[in-house]
Amino acid sequence: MTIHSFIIFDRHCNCIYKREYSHELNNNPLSGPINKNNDSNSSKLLFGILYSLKTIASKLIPEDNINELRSFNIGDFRIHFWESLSRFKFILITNKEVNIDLQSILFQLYSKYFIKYVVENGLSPIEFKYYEKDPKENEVSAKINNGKFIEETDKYLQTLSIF
Amino acid sequence: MSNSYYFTIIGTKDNPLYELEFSSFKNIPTTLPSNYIPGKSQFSQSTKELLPFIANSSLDIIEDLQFSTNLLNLGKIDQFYGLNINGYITQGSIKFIICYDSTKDESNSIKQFFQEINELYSKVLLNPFYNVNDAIISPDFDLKVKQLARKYL
Amino acid sequence: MSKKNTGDDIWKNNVEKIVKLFTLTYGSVVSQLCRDFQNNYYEVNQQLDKMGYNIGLRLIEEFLAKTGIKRCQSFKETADIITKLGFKIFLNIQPTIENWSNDGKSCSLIIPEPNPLTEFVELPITSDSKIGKELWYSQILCGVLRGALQMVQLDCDVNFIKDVLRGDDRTEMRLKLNKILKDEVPAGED
Repeated sequence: MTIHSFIIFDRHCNCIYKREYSHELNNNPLSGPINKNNDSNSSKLLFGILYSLKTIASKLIPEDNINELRSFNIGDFRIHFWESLSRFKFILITNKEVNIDLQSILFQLYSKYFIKYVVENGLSPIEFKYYEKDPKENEVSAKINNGKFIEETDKYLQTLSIF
Repeated sequence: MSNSYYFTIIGTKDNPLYELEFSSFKNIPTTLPSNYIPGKSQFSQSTKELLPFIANSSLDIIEDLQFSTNLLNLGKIDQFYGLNINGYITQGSIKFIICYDSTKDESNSIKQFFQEINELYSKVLLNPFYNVNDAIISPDFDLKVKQLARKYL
Repeated sequence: MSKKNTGDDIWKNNVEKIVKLFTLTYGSVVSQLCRDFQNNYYEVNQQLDKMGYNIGLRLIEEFLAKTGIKRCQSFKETADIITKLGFKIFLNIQPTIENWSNDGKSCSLIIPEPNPLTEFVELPITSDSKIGKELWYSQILCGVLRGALQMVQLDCDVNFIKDVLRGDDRTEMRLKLNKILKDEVPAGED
C-alpha cells in the first residue's frame, strides 16, 4: 500500500501541483520533490491519458447519462481520478494493491484543503497562468506554492492506511 | 400663541444640515387666522428672519453643556423673547435644536422627538453616498421628520 | 459579564449585524469607486463587474464543495440551482425566475426586496442626476454570476435591466447563455 504522488490539473490543462512521495528504503517519504516535475513529459502524458479516457467513458454510453472515469491500472500502478465541475482534476497515483475507491478522499482533498488554502486564500491565484517563456513567473502564478496547503495535505495523506 | 416650531440640524462645523418650520398639529389655536393651513408655522416675518440666528447663538451653550453632562438630550437650554430653545447633541457632535413659542414647557415630547430624529439621522449616515456634514436633501428624510413632528408635537 | 463574553454573545446572536457590516462595506466600495473615477459611472459599473467576476471564480468552488452538486442537464436547471441554492447560501434571498426566451437561453432573475446590498442606500438626487441613469449599484452580482458560471463551462452575459434604487418597480437581472465551453486541450507539441 503506497501513495506515490498527488497531482492537480486546472481547467487550462496546467499541472498546478505535483507532490511526489519517495518510499524507498531509509528515506523520509516527505523528502520527495514538490512541484519539480510539473512540466515534465510524464505530466503531459498523464493529462493526455486522462483526457482520452474521460472522453471515451462518456462516449460509451448514450448522451446525457453519466459515466465517470474513476481509476485505472497501468502495470504496477493504479491511478485514481476525480474532477470538480469547475474542471480541477485531482489525481492520486498509488501501487496496484490499492484497489479501493478513493473518490471520497479526493473529494476531501478538494473540499477541505484546496478550498481552504487556495480558493479562500485571496492572495493565491485561482486561475493559474502558465508562461511559456518565463519559468520564474511560473513559480508564483502557475503552481500551488502554498506552504500550508502542502503541509496539511501531506499530513492528511500520511494518516491514511494506504499511504 | 400659535405653537410654532423651528427645527434645525447643525453639523460639527456649525454648518446647517437641515431646517424645518412647522406648527403644532395638537394645539390648534382657538382663533384661526384667515390663511390657516394645518402644520404651517405661524411665526411673524420678523421672527422668521431671526430664527437661524437664535438657533446658532445657542450653540455656545450646547458646547458648554456637552462637557458637563453625559446626556444627549439637553432639555431647555435658553430662551429668547418668549421663544423656548431645546437642544440635543448626538454622539457624533451633531446638534438638533428646536425653537418654539409655546407658553408651556414641552421638553418631554421634544425629548421623544429628538430621540427618534437621532435614529433617523443615523440611518442617513449609513447611506454610502452621504458624508458627514453634507446637507440632508433626501425627500424621504424630510417626509419622515414631518411625520415625527406630527406624532409628537 | 466580561467585555469579551459580551462581544462573543453579540457576535453569535447577530448574523444580521454581520450582514449589515457587509452591506456597509459594499456601500463604501461603491461610493469610493464613484469618487475614484470622478463619477464616470460606466467605468464604476465595469469595475464592480470585474470585482464580482474574481469573487465568482472562487465562490463557485466553495459552492460546489458545500453542495456536492452534480452537473445540470439544462440551462433551466442551472438557473433554478442559482436562485434556490446559490443566492440562498450566500445572500439568504431567493430570486424568482421569469421571462424565459423561446430558445431557453435567457431569463430574468427578480431580486426580492429588500435587496441585501441596497439597505440604507439612497442615490443622491440633486447633486448629480446622471447617477440614477447610469450607475447599476448592485452590478457586482452580475460579475459574480458571470465568473461562477464560466468556471462550470457556461459562458454567459449578465446585466441589470431594472433597479428599485432607480425608481423602477423591481430589481431585475438578465441572464443569457452564449455558449457551453468545451474542455480545453493542451497546445500541440512540435
